[in-house]
Amino acid sequence: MSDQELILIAETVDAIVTRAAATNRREGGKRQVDDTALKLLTEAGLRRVTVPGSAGGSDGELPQLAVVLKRLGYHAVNVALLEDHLAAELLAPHTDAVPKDMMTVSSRSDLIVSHVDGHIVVSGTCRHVPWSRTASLVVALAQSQAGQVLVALRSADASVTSHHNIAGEPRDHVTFDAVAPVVKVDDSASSLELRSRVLLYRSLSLLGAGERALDLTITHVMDRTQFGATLSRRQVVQHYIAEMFGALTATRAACDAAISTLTGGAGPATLATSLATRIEADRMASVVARLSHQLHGAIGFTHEHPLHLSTTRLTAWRQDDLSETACALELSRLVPGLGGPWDTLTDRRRWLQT
Amino acid sequence: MTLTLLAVDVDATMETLRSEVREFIAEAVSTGKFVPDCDNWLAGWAPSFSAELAARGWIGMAIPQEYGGSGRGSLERYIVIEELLAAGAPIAAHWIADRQIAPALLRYGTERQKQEYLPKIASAQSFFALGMSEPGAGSDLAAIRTKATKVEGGWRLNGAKLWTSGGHHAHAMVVLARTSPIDVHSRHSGMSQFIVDLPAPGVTINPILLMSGEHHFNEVVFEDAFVSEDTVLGTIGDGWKQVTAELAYERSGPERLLSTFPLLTSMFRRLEATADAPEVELVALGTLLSRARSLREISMSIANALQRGEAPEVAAAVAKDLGTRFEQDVVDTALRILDGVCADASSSNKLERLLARAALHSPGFTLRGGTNEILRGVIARGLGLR
Repeated sequence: MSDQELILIAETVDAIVTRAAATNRREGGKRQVDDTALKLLTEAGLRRVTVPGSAGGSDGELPQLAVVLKRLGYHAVNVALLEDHLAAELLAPHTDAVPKDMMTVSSRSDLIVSHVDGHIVVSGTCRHVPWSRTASLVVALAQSQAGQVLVALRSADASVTSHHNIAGEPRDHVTFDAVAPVVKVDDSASSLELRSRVLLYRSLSLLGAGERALDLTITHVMDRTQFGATLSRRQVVQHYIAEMFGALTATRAACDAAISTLTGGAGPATLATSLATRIEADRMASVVARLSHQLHGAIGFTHEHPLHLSTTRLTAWRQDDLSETACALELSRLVPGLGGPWDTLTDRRRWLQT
Repeated sequence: MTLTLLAVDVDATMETLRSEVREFIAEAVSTGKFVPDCDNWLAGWAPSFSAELAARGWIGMAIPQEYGGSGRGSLERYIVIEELLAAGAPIAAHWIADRQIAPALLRYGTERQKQEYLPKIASAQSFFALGMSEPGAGSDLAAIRTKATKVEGGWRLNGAKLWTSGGHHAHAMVVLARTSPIDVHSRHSGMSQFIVDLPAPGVTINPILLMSGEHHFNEVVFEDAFVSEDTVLGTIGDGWKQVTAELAYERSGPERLLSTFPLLTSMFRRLEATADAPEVELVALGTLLSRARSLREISMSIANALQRGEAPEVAAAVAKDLGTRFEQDVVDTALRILDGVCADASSSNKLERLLARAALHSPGFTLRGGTNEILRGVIARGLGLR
């Protein structure tokens, strides 16, 4: 896959966002799905990029999906593409009937699998599920006697309480009470697959949001004049910008490495790379959200200015899936099994084999 | 602007090489050939160890075979040096010659200079120092005042260089000097580079001790020191251009992130050996490891770009700014979390020894090779801010 091809994908996403921009409005303080963008992305074959054609996908590759996620994060588009894509790729190997309509994934659930009258049922709550109100199925991990399993549950079978993150995106609590799963996968690799992928995908979304915040900030400091000179003339401003750029470069490098590792399939080592990537993305989100606001001054703190579209997401998405601290704890616990810190960093073949 | 860096695909040859280096290091440590330490690429001057590396073809790997090198290229060199750095091996003696002087000679040297120095660099018989900073020229390198005056058959050097690492051991040094007076409108013009064999008449080397008491730095004073015409490196007047072209090598290498890696490894081992390791310590180390991974990816992709003939100045500035702060963060984390472990150079406890060296060397990480403040200016310029 050539660089040109990836640039073309990025430009296509950008063009779709521009066309759909008119409908991307904040209504009642809560974000609605951008149906136009979703429709155009689907038509362009960019909705389920790496998913097999049989499951409504485009049989593409991970670097292509990465570009889509980054650009959607950049433009703060209200579509649940990350979750729908992940749900589809998790289900595709296990069922011929992957729904064409939107799905979501919960990475924070306390679901338990049990048997009632000889039937398998699932109970529990998925908290802060992204965009569940527009999803037909919720894909999540559940605890069974045999260990962790992957289940797909109909959201119509759930009781839902409406919640939103601070970016205004739907993050509902979804409760299932002895509901029969549509799909149940006993394969323990599914758990690693879900967790490795959701951490990387969220990191890519964060990277996009961070890139936008930096672009807005550079534009602002080169335009805004105080004390007779543009802010960009001040050394401290230059250093803040360099700090943001450095954090983004580190996140991009982490994502690129995780993409090439995850291409070989999921395992404990891919989980380690995804955890490490997400730690970098969360650090970046902290630095970029703070400094972009500092450099924008009061105007960046208003509803009118677009900066908040990026910074509220940088802050909200940090809280999805797994906290930075939880990632770091789990990463450290994986290190002895991967041969120590230096082997963990260097031995990519081993990372691919484990 | 974004940095598009190609990820490096490590192939089987490189992995075989990595295994060979690891076996060699394990054997060297177990037989006491070296004691691992932090920042040993600056402080570990061990000519016999350098000679062992040279015998295996692991010095001068980027030097073509016709000049005595192994010609294996900068990516394979990267594998070797990152293994040595992570293990805390003493590689200071040949470090500057291998990293910086050999590429400069290949790019700018005359045939005579290449014939004379490259084979000796590759065989660890010629160690180099760099004469750049001066008492009045630290971050502001263009302010140098060391002067080279044209005389019959060569040049006379007058002035003083500062912070010259290993100058008291080196066989030669490359000196940046003014060959025309400073022009306020074009401060970067009129500088040239000279290769000065050491010791030499008119060249006095005075020690400057680090705050640890160690002797690595020197002041090198030139008093009418004569160098012949054929010691000019490159073109008279192009010194600034030549020096800045080397900076991408100097700023992006694995030594800008791995100076304290032996300490990080040691901290992980300590926790592995502890039942119920405190979560707060595991979190701190996991955070450091995630940062190390990103930095290594950035650094390797720059090595890849250099191999393709590019000079990614902004990327190199990012690598060094983040990398050296990471090196300090390792030390700070150790000081923060290691209860009952005290930095102590005379300790029999490895962790306490590593921490002593790392803590005492730490302030230098973000100074050497261009202070981080200068580097952030380079990044800002690359982004169009200045």
